[in-house]
Amino acid sequence: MPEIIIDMPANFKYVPGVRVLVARVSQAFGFNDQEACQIETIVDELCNNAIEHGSREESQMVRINCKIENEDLEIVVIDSGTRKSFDLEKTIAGKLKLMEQEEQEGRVGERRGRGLVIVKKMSDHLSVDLSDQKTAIRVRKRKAGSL
Amino acid sequence: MVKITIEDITGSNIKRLIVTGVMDNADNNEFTKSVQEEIKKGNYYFIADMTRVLYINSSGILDLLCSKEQLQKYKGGVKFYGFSRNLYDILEALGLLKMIEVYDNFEECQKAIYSLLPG
Repeated sequence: MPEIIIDMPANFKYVPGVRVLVARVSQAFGFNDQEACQIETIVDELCNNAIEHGSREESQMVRINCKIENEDLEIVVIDSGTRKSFDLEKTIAGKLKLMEQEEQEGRVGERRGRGLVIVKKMSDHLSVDLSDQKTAIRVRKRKAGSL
Repeated sequence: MVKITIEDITGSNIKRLIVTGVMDNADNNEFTKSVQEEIKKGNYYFIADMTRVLYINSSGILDLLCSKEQLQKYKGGVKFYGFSRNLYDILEALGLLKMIEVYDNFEECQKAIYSLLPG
């Protein structure tokens, strides 16, 4: 299966190039314009998250691993952050609830955490793997019309 | 990079903000900064033309929300038009269409912003 591995220094200035590259490659494998735009957003948010919370020094790297398998694109973004625990589903559910409240009350409120909510909404599967030396966020995006 | 151009709307104290480029982590809250500069001059009502925005992420969205927060202090506001379908989808996915008020075109924005004007 086609696979791309990108090692990027942990600096925000590299992210636009990487997100566009992955989006363009996905189009070459049959993802439509809307899906490619969503893939660009997913890669962007995960990379920014990895730099903000994981690999905080530019000397550290963020790895973006993309595999295309049949109708699916799997994106794994790995940083060198060591989080003791991270309940992804609970974090996103909590954030969504807070955002709903803010929306109803018309206030901006909590400033962080919308990135993972975007990723959750735009992907078909989202999970996290924690180990002593790294955090890997795994996303699966399926082509429209596939089962 | 994002560029904000500010135009007067003839016969009103409403300003049009023309946003061009990419609103991401590199944009450094340029939208809110532009609004803040106008607030200092006593301008509180804005229509934002987003037709030239190529991309927006959560950081860019936060910039838009911060500008709204600033304007609320002065009972002002900002209305948006011209988001591409893909960018509109992101706002919709986040349930932000009540906070970031998007209209079909400039004229609809104008009607909405007039409702905020005192008197």
